[in-house]
Amino acid sequence: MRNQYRQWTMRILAAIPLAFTAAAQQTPTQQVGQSPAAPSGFGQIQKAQDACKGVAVRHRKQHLHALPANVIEPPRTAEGWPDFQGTWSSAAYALNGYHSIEVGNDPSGNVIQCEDDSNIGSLLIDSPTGMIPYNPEAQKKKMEYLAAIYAPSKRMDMDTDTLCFFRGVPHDMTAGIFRIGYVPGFVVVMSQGVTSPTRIVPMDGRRHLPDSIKLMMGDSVGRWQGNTLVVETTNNSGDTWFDKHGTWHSEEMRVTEQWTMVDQKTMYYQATVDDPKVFTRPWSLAMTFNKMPENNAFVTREDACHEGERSVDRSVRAGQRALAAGIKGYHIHVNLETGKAINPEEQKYLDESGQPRGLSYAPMIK
Amino acid sequence: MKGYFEVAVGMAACVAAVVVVATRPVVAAQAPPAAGAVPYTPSRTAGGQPDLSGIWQYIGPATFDLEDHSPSMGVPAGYGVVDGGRIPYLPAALKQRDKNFQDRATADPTEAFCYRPGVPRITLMPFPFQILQFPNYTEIVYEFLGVNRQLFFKGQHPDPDIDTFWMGDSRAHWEGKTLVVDVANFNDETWFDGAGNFHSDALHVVERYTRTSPDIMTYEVTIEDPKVFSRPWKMRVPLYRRQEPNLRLLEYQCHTYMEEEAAKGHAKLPWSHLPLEGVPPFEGVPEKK
Repeated sequence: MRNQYRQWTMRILAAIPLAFTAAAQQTPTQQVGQSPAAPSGFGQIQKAQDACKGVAVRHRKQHLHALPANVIEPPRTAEGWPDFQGTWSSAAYALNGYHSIEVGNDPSGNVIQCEDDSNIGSLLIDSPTGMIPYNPEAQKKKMEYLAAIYAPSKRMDMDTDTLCFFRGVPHDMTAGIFRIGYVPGFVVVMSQGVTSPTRIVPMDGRRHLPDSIKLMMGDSVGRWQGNTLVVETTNNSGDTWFDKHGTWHSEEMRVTEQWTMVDQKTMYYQATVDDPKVFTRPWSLAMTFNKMPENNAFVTREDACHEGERSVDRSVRAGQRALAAGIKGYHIHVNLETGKAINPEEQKYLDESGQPRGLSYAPMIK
Repeated sequence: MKGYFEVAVGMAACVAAVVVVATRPVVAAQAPPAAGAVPYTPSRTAGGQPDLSGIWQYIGPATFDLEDHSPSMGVPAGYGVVDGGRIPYLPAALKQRDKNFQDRATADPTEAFCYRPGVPRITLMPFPFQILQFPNYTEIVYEFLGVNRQLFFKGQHPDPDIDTFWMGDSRAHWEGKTLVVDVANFNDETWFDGAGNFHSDALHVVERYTRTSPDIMTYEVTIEDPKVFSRPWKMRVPLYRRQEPNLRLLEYQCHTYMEEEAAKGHAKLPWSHLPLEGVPPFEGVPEKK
């Protein structure tokens, strides 16, 4: 189970103070637990630049926002394929990119997440706000998901990754370490983690599956375009999110991935997503993968997510308590009192007895 | 469960060409395919290994029960696949197996809970799997739960006091044209089939994959577990290469479907009655959204 990440998430969530009604996005109301003078609704949150001021931005690894003008001519296999085989790391994205691919404001001007020294920031490369361009109805649904995550009252309120669902494409590529291997006719992408299953991508130009077959990982078909591997994924079910922040899509979604080696150790990856039912336009994200040494033997450690998993039930019980106590909110990453980004190392979000404050996990609710 | 049988029947139609060859039931004491037949030599992969690649599937009753059994609701009758007929349980373990069988509708870790089936049950599930051969390991990807096994040609089993796995740890080597896979580091959570046949964490499995024709592979498995069985025992089944052109593995994520059915009120999650330590149930009425 994802214990390590769940603890991190709980610390982050615990740092969000109590008392923010879910309906407050439009209508100012009195907040439980705050002084009567506190401003209401999301308006109290400062704009992105102010809220994130003073938080250092430091990338652990190079993060390209576009394909560089100069890239190498990659080595070729005997069959003439550009040779991408080996072990690659997406570790730079395995914490934050996997959690939220966005940074910046939602349409109401509320900060969703800030860049800090553990966070690459938005993975989106063609959105000035760093946000996924949801249409208004779809954006409302996303905010409903964020409220459900904050105080879940039923299992399906939890994010899809905690529920051990497949991540889908391109979310699966934030798993941390993966291996690319070739077998005749297929490019095989094997990632760590059970929610990022092995992708066996046919390269023979076959047609996609019939439209009535929908899969969480979709149906991927690949081809070479010069030295770029282009993978089209269709037949997506509507069950997956792009991250843990309610970033949903419909069955109409299509993804085009482009993989290009920049140099022997660097791969530029770009995924373009389109879903006319949900987005106002297509959008793209980018990641930079780093080659691991070959003697770093790649092993898929078994990740038994679903087996014996009970943390969802715990979270639901805690969420039910929270809601009954009038505690509601959105799962976001800003201290709602100060409008500042939440630093996981900060200790001040503990109450008198040393328990993390707020939030919908039962041991913390009296 | 009965869905599996319907699936299996549908799949059987797709291997009609090879069923004629392979319908002789594999019963204990019978020799493998006819003496006098020319032994098949598979082609080689680019890396020089016997080529086992492709999409394969088991068709047969061992999914439901490894031993001889009568038909019952949703379960076809079957010749057993165990050498010697019966699995050689120790007396106390046999009682446990019989109890598992009685409780199977709610106790089967894979059918009831959608937990990973372990080895060799993963091979016997009525879903295709794909063998991918790489220089340092063979990877088998199964449509059932997207299970992915790396069969390493190097290295040793890890320390079982530290690492146990639902699917075990696999170390492989070639003996002529046979891929021999030594599997250890199991936990004690899985069953061998839908009839309650089980093991402890002392389980040790050796699989042997031998391609005997372009479309048939024999799968012979030796199982030992001194805590449960009085001696090692073997089972043997044919595996069939799926014939459809452009076939690809799809998905079967039963736990996802279970969540969705439970959310609609059509089903109860199989663990929901089990106690949840540390967090008392919430008796109040949660806020409606």
